Amino acid sequence: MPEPVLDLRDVRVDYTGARGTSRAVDGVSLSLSSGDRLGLVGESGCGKSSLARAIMGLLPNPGAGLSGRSMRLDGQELIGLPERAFRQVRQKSLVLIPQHPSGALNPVQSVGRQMESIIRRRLGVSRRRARQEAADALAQLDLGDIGALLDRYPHQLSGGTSQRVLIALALACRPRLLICDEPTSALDPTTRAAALDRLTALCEHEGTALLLITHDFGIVAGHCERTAVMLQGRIVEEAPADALFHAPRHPYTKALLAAIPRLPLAATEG
Amino acid sequence: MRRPSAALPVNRAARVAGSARRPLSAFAPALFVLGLYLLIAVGVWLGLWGQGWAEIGSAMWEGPSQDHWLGTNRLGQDIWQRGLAATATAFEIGLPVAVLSTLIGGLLGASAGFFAHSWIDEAVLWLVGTLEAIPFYLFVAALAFALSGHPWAMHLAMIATFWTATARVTRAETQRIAKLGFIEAARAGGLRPRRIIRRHVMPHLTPLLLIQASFAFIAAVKAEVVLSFLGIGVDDSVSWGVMIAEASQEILAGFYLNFVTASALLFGLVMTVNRLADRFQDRFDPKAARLDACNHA
Repeated sequence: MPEPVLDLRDVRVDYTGARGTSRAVDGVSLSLSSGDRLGLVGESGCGKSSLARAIMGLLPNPGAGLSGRSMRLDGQELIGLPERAFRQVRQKSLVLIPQHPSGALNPVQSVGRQMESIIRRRLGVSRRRARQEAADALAQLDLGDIGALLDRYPHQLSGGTSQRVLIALALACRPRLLICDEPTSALDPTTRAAALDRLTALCEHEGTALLLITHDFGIVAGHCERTAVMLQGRIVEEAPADALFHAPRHPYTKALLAAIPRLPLAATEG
Repeated sequence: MRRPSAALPVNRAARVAGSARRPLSAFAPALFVLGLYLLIAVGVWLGLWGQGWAEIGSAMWEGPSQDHWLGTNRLGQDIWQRGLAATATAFEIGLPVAVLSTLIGGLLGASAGFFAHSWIDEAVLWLVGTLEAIPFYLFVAALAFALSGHPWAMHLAMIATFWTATARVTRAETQRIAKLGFIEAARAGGLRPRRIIRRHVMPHLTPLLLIQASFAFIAAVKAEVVLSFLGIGVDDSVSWGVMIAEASQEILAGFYLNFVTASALLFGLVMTVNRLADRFQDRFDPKAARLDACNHA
């Protein structure tokens, strides 16, 4: 078996506040190989986003502590890694698509300029080439006139467009591990399906490991091979997506699945 | 598939946002007056006019005449020339104080805000608190004494005290900006903090710092007047404060020209810079523009 891209063993995240510490992630173990697609599902506040930030090394400092047995990215231990070295790792291998797309773009730079500078840094290519890469990535997402889009500023974009810009940017960066935190919350169902299709196709093509955080079971069912259910900082059940949907074992998973609204007619889940 | 037809509404939004901004012509009157003041100052620096401000004439407290447009003071010095020379003095104090105090305050404030609750933040806050605890006029007097009347003692004292206000607002604004998504995105992209501050935080601070600089300019010019009036300000030169200090004796004798000239010039400059700062704030406050755009749309 090849070495996994991401390997978490017993990872914990603690937040320290005025009234003591609270544990947001409580001993999570996960493993993702190249090309794997894992959906991480759970209710608000269960620690999904904290886990994502821990992997990205973006926990607030001071204020949060990361501990545990190990957290390896391509064999490199990330727990206790100094910030300087972590920056290198982030820049080389990690991409996060955040939950709130509009805030993630710098308001004073045009879309093209920011995509360009990020792609240049990630891939080490020329400005021209970076612009081409940006345009190519955007072209995959059905965004209309791309030349005009590149010259626009973030406040001129709709939420759905900025979200797709971020997805395009993530595609263009070709990371080892892509973490998506509710990547398509601002998209309507058809656009969402198309964007996720592109995303998963890329992951397959480039061998990118995908960690998809969501509370939408439909997304997980359609685009992930495996599903992990998180509750109060722990992963309570992890199984191939099909198995989890058809034969949930943990009572919380059953409760979650039962909470999905269903049409009385055909079962067109996912 | 849904056809993305975003082009039209986006363009309209852009146009509305643009129209919510004040046109550049709103700056024109204030810029014109400021230009006049600058012209006076530059002329004095180049030796074109206002050079005879120290000449002691024979006629004291004269009314306006061909030789002395605005009359003379107690020593027979020409008030018009003194007014011109004092304008240059005002810029000599206002400009360096505004630029340096804003630079220092902006730099320290941005660092403190970006590295909130770190040792940098603590150190800057401690420094700000300490400097603000010293009464301003006492501080100037002490510095002037310590530097034994060095011409830059007053500048130094103003810079040392004025930057703290800028640092405070810059720190608060930077803390707000640092929490925004694109800063986190820059971090997630592996950018170094120094680069994030320069490329992603600073552009958002520029309008704030420009406004702070104009306030520092006004504060410096006004503080000079008070300090000179108290006799711990401008020495061996003429300033509006020196002129007003002279006038304190003249007014009792029923002679107002010295006082009126200095006050009018001071009022004009402070008012103009204030107007500019307000116009500037209106134009560059993105929140105001966005609010307007929403109302129009």
